[in-house]
Amino acid sequence: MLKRILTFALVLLMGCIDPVDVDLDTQKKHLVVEGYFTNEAKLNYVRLSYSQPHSVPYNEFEKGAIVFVSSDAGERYSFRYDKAGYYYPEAGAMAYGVPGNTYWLNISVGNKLYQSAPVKMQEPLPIDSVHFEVDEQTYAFEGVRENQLYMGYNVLVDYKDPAEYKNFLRWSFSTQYEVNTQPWDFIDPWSGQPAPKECCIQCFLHEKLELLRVADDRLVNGRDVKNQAVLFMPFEKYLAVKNKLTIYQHSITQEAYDFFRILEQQKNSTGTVFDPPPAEVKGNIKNPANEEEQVLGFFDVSGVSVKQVTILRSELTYPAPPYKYPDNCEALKGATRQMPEGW
Amino acid sequence: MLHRILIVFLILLVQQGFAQQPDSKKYKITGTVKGAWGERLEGAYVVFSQDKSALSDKQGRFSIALSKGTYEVNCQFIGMAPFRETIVVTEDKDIVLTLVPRNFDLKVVEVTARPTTGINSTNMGSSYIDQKLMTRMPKLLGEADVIRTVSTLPGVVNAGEGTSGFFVRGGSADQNLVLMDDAPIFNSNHLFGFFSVYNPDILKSFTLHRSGISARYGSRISSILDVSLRDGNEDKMQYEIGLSPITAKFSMDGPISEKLTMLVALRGAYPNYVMKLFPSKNIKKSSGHFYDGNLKFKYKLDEKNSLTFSGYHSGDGFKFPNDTTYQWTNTLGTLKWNHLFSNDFTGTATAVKSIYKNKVEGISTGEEFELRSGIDLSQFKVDFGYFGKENHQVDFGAEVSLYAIEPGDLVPYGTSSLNRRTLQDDKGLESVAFINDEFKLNDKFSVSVGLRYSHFAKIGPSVTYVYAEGQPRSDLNIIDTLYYSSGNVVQTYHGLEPRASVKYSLSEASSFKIGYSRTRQYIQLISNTAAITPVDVWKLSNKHIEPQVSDQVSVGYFFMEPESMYEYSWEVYYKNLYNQVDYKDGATILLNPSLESDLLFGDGYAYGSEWLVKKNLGRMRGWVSFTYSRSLRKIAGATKAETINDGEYYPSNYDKPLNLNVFVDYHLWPNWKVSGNFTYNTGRPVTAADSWYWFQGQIFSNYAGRNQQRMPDYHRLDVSLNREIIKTDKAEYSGSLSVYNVYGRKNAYSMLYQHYYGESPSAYKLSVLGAPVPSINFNVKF
Repeated sequence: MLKRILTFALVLLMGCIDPVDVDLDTQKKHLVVEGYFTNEAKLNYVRLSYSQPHSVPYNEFEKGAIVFVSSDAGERYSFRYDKAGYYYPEAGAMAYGVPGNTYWLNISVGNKLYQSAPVKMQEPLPIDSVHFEVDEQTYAFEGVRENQLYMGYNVLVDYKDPAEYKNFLRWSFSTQYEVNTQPWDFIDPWSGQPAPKECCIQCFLHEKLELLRVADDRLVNGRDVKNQAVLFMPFEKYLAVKNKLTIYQHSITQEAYDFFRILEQQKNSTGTVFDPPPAEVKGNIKNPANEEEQVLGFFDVSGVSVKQVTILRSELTYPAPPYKYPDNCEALKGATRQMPEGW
Repeated sequence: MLHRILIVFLILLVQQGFAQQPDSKKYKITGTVKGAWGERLEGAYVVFSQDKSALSDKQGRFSIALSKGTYEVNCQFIGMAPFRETIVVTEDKDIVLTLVPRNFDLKVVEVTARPTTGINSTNMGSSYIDQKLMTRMPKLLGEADVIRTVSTLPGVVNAGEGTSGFFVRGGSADQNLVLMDDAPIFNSNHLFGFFSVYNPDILKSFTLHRSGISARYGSRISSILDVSLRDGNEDKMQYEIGLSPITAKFSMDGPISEKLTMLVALRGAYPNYVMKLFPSKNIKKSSGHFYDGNLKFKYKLDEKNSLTFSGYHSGDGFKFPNDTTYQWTNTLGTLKWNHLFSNDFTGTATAVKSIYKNKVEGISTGEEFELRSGIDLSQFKVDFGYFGKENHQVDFGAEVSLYAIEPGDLVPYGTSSLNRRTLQDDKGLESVAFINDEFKLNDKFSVSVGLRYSHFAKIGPSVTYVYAEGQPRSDLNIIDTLYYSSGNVVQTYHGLEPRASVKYSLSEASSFKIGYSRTRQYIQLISNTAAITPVDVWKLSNKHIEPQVSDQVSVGYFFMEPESMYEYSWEVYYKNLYNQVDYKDGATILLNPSLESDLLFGDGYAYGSEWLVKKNLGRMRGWVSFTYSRSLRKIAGATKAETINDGEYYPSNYDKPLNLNVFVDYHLWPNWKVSGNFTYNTGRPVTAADSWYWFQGQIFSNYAGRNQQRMPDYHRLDVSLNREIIKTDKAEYSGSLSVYNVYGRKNAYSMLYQHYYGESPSAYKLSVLGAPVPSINFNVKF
């Protein structure tokens, strides 16, 4: 009994999170720019959208902008609108930057012109090796309301930090993976009765995993950096059969580092005693005709090095339970039955 | 030059005092007011045949000139039975008034508190609370707490649950000098701030000074919280044990010999067994603890000399699972020598040491480290009290403090790929001289004037960066580095701090007071969290960080019913603040050698009006305090990056305009009392988002500017049921039952924006104690 009372007393002590009302009169709309230009053509894109008041649940994209990147070496790459706010280079695989050159982004929307600060492309820093460590972390799959604890792999990279100058790094990822599902266990959501399906078991998915993780060499300058954690990948779904993971290591500028760091800080903030208060994230894009106009986002120019690794479920060092999905595997968002080349 | 002026001023004042011999027809009666256990009582009112009166000073001393004759001496002090005796004055005399605590006789109605501010003294804006009153306030987790009690006073607000910081009249938490028996404390937290460093069982009293501050006090610009602990009693050895759900306390005090008394107190907290009961892995694997101990000796050398030693040590730790452990210790020591030069001249020499050490340990693979930081303060001071000149009470003294701050030393170990990183120690020397004279012009006018002079030298070894002119200060704009070797002076600051207050008695029962004080502060806590946490950094003024200065003017009206039944006060203040610190967006504070480049500096002002109504007698006692106040800052740097909110005034983090506190203590049955405490204040300003957006496949909020919105208002009701002391032949028992946050208000600690799938991103609040917290405690004394 005493145990119960005490447990009760302590449960009460713990923090809890509840919604509050916001003052909607102060809500505004700003242009949001997500621009990447690297030495790897397939990583280059610009995405334009608008920030929305907290009462509006939908995203709004800018579809009619003129977008191009120019450089101090006289290069000029135009970007064409695709969909969902994305603009891709017209030159396709030929649109890539050269480390050492300085690039800037130009956008015109209606009669407004926006320009980024010029950014020098840094020399890429090679990844020496990639390894994995079993870990348990909270993770939210797309479409899931709350974070849950999952077992998975922590992806760790090793690299050599050059001592001569300050280095700032960022990582991005793309992953291709295979899933096997159980269509014969399908249950009709309306009737609640088993309704086995005949097809299909084997599917392939492709995802870009974007994280805000950044690192500086303030504390590791000149060292062989070991086991820098860059990504958490749950065994669930991602490591159901086989996974080809591509890691891009971006050498970024200090301004970009500060930008991503504050974003990351904001994302990880849970409002506790130990968290710094939220801060304004200042980007590098502005409207030269009206400097007061707040433009969100960043034009990030980086030198990228790439490393690809393949992980097989049969080689996992942890007895992860098999992936359960009682439906046609094509019902998974983005799934295809087409086996990728070289799989 | 200033030194000289000061010395001359000092000499003049003292000489004047000596030169004027008392009127030949008058005799000087000096004395000491003591409690039954020999402790000296400050602020006791000694009345001679109803028309002459004196107030005892810090050492319980008083002095008065009387003509030949027979007088009835009356003395009243909170919690003590009234003292009454007749004396015959035929010559100069030194007398001792020993007061007996009232609760020796429970039938007598007890005074809840001594008047918050005496209507006849010149001090204003200072509040006094004794231990007895404090222990009757509702408790959290079974412990009465000084800092929680302080935040029920007018003009004081709590920094939020889970922190032990408090904001006084629009100032930050580090602008309060927090003392324990004269030793400054740099982290008064225990266990996430639910407890503070003060063990309530051995507390004597505390006083919070927030305006009209005597020249005796300084070093911080908002307030001084002066907490004194009991001395060991001179009667017999006494033991006390206290228990609550997660703390246990033991104390003993008494005489060792006729001249030596001792007090020992130990306290420990053991929340882990409760945490283990949790189903959540995260809580199960977390742990926390604290312990602390006090040791106090008082040695009476002879009638004119006494030595006191007060020592304190505490250890704190908590750990989050698989992550980081935090540990800190506080070690304090005060050695004090009181000397009576003559019946009207007293002196005290005090040596103080305060060491705060902090250790953060990271245990993640590849990133193992130990980060040590801390602060070491050595202080020596002398103060004198002279009241040989009729109607004058002169205090003067000097003080030297040496600060040595270790801002951070990161030592990697194991497989760690971190480099060792050690920041240069931050050293400084603060020297102070002060003089204060409180004198009575006539029956209506009393004046207290004081002058404090403080000098600060930042001393080497030091690495000082020179930043390019006209560009935002940042480590990219460092154009030169200056090296100073050990002991060399890097930068000095100094200034006068005039203090004055005037009392004008409007009637027997009421008075009007006006006060001015300038205060300077050479040390600040660099923290961009709202609370004092173990990862914050104390920083001394240097070439780039100028000392904080505050000028405060306050005006007050004080009324007290002749029988002290009701007390009423109204105080209005206005403060100008200079060189206030704020932070750049996303500032890096830990291990940052060019910390000043992440800080912003500006000015501010604060004003407010505080009302207090208090009932001191009767079956129902308590007070209502209400405050309206504002606190604003302006950061207009040379460049846009160094400007907040376009250089306009914005509400500071400590701006909580409305603040209401109600405390009621009701005598229910002969041995039972019930008390309630209600607090309301306006929500703290927060930086709010004006919109949300997608970036890199994730949702973010756009925070623009600083502090333009407010969190929901804070309010809370606590109640407690107190069992008065039960006396048996062998022991005394007491206990209480409290409920903190009775109606379970989910007060917001902070606001954050979150996005849950399928909903538009919206604002949420985090509350730390969002439910009623019951607790029980039990004390036995034998």
